[in-house]
Amino acid sequence: MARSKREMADDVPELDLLAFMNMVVILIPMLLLSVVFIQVGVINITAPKLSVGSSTEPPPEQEEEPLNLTIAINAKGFRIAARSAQLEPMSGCPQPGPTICLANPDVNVAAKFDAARSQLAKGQKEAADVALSEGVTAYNFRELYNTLVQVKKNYPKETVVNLTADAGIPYVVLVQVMDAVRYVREKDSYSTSAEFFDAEPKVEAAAPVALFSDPVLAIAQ
Amino acid sequence: MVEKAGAKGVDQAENVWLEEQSRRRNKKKRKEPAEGGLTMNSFMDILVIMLVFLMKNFGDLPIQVAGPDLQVPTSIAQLGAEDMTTITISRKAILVNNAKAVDIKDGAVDKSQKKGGEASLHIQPLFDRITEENKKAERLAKLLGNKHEPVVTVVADQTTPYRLITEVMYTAGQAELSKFKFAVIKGQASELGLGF
Repeated sequence: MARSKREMADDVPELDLLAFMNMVVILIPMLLLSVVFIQVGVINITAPKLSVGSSTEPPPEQEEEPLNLTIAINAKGFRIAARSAQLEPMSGCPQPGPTICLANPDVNVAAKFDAARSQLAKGQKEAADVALSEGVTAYNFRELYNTLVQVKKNYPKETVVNLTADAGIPYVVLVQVMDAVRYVREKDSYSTSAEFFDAEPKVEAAAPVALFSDPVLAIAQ
Repeated sequence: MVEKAGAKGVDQAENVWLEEQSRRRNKKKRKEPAEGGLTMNSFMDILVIMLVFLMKNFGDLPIQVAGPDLQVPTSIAQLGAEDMTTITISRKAILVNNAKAVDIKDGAVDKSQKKGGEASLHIQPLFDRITEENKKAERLAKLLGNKHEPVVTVVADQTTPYRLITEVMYTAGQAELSKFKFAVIKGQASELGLGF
């Protein structure tokens, strides 16, 4: 007998798992790399009444004439209209022109967006990101917020905002506009962009206070 | 002399035996692992648990928001996504519930796919797919006893031109879907890398 009985009972069997561990050690980093830690959120959008078929809820009752706040995004800035009257361009913006002009008037946003698209088609992702961000940051979202806070003061019950844009405006600009006008932030007016973008929505009763939180996307024919 | 020899002989045999025993014991103490095996039971435990966790994570994602042709913009939106019919507008194609409906070239749908030509807002193949998926969702809701909501989630790449978005919304509207949820990635503007 090579071993005595006592030694056989005590002997802990070793797992010969080299092959299995090979696979696991390769699989784990692969899965870790493909896990993307992102949180998906949604924005509720309404389309105007052009859908075929019955709607699930009756249209909301309106006691007074609706405000019809409209923000039109074009290559030169934002055009704000309310009650079918367009707001005059701000001081410092060229007249005639959009209500809120570009923060960087030298940037040709249409060209930037076209460049970004063509670069993406060619696969140059970093250059496309740069062009896209140059185009997006040319818009003055801070002034848009300031102006809309003033509008809200006169019409505190309105939360609907109609949004429309030129055909070539990319989706990211739309999302940034919706972000800028959705919640009331800590202050009513901001003078620097850095402060504006760092500001958190004001919270009341555990929910953020809405500024104009019901976007309706208008379909320009 | 005989006794002495005898005693010595016994001693020697004993010594030999004793030495052998001690050698054997030392061998047992210095237990070398067998060729090609590793004593890594606890490490294996960790790896297997991590594997199970990652597999579960893999299957949990309801919406795909990143891919080679899809970069969804970031937003400070607070609402969470729900499981429902999705229309994905990537840079190369429009997909309904991850099945391709129509191709996109240079940010627009080819005019042959549109009912009514270039200026039309109605994309025919997309309309067909949406009605199909909507009917499926309706039947499923009826089966489960839930009420079917005519809502659809739109996942769009950040460079999608506004015109394409309106076309998709119009087409979905024709297919009796009136409410939309636009999917975004949650984040602060300052950390989005947009250069603000």
